[in-house]
Amino acid sequence: MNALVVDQVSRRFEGLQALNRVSLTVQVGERRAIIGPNGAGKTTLFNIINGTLRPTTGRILLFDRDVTRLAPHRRTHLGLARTFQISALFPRLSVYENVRLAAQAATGGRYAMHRPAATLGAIQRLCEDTLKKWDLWHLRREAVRTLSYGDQRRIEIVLALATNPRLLLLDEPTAGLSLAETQQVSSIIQALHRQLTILLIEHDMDVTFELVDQVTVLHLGNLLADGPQEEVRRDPRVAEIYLGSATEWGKPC
Amino acid sequence: MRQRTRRTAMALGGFLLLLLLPAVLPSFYLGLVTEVLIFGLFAMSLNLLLGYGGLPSLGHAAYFGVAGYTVALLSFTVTQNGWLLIFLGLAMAGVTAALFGLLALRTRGDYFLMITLALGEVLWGLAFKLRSLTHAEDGISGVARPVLNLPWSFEDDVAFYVFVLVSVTLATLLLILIIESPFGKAVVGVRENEARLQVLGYNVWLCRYLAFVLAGLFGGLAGILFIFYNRFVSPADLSVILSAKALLMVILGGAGTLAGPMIGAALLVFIENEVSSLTERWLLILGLIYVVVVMFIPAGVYGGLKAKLQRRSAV
Repeated sequence: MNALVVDQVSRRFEGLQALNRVSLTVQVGERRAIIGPNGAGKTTLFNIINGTLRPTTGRILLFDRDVTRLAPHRRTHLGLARTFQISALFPRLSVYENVRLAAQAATGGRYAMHRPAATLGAIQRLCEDTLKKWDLWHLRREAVRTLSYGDQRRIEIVLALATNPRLLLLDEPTAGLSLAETQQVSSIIQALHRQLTILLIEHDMDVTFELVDQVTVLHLGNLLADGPQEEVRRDPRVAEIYLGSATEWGKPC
Repeated sequence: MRQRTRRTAMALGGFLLLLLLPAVLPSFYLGLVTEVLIFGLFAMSLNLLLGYGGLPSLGHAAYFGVAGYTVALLSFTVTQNGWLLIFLGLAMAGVTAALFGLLALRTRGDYFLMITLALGEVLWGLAFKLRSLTHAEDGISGVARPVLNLPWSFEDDVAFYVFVLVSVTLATLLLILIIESPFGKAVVGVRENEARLQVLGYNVWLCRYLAFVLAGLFGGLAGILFIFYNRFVSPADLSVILSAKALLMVILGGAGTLAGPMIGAALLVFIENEVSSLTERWLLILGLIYVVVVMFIPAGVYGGLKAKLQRRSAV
């Protein structure tokens, strides 16, 4: 089964062709990176997959179901989760409250009004387990905006995972992190169970090649290359857009 | 847990104190306290939108007034049964909110403020134009206190005060339950980060819409209590001035806090009472209070105090 099919997707913004007939297929369990210089259309593609944006033309299939016209929250119910490029948590709420909103969504009682959230056992247990599992228990009372950026990025991933997804979109999970924090986030992603399909945008090539098997290269809205990472690394066109020359790229010199 | 017990004890003590108030308070001041309770409920209902949902409505008087007019008109023509009148008033407020919500929630922020204002003004205009029904600016007077088939007659001011106190207390408990429920937490999530909440699987529009209708229902209940108290309804009960007053009560007390709006209502009702006996330029003073609060205590009296106490206990 395919986790995701992007079928001939185009998107125009006024005069700009952000995506031009991009197609790609991600199989269940696959780990794939989408790379490309700024303005390649990576985040636009994420927004279309997740439903925040509609494609001008083309289709999106999630687990073999056409979701092109489905609202974002409905796609979440099908097993899609994502993180954002710029940390997007609930900044003034505590770590516990952040996780609770995800836990409520996961346990299905998200619009319940008849009982205080604090008395709902299933939600509380899920919160507790999640916080302990990710070593956030001691931070649970802190407002998220007071935490370090590294912790915020970590919570970003934790929230996405708390909805129990089958396909996870990570938009630059290590952007703006220190070396040590990058390592930490990278090993978190590596340790995720293998049935979870992961699609990530990443600028740090070391991180990218550590985490994924397949690489898709976008350039100015066009699909430039697509395949196993060794192949893509050797592709001279890819080297050109990144380095402007035909040397092998992505390796420390 | 201990903190929770203490809070419950304090609330219970406050309720008993208010219950015993008629024994010591002259009837004029009892009337003022009745007003504080009614407008406190009104402000709390708006707080659900403004404080928790981050939706600044400037048309909240619509539901207050619609419920008031409904009860007033029907009490002369259809029924004297208080329970039925309350139900019908709530239903009309709810229907109005359900309709207005569909229109207003297509917008955000300042635009939301403007469209709620405009929708409120439409009703205010109707109240003026439909003279044969509403008697325009003369309003409808002589509405009787509710007949509820209970052992007390609410024509008596003390009995009616207790009726208002019990109603407002029950409504407040319901509001607390809503705010503390998963739904209430989701509404705060909408305020804090809509995109993230949506990605977590919430229907963000539905959260806003339900909050909007609920706020309308509770606002309507305040309007019903007020028409029974005041026995008179006029376009003023639908006016932008009343909406702005409610907004000021919420901000003055502290938006997004439970007790804030009630405290804001108490301050405003008593200040209005004092100032109106001195000058006719009450609205000018109201504006002045608004400016001072926004400039010096943006978190509100209660909100600011709470933040200060939390900082102190954190050190």
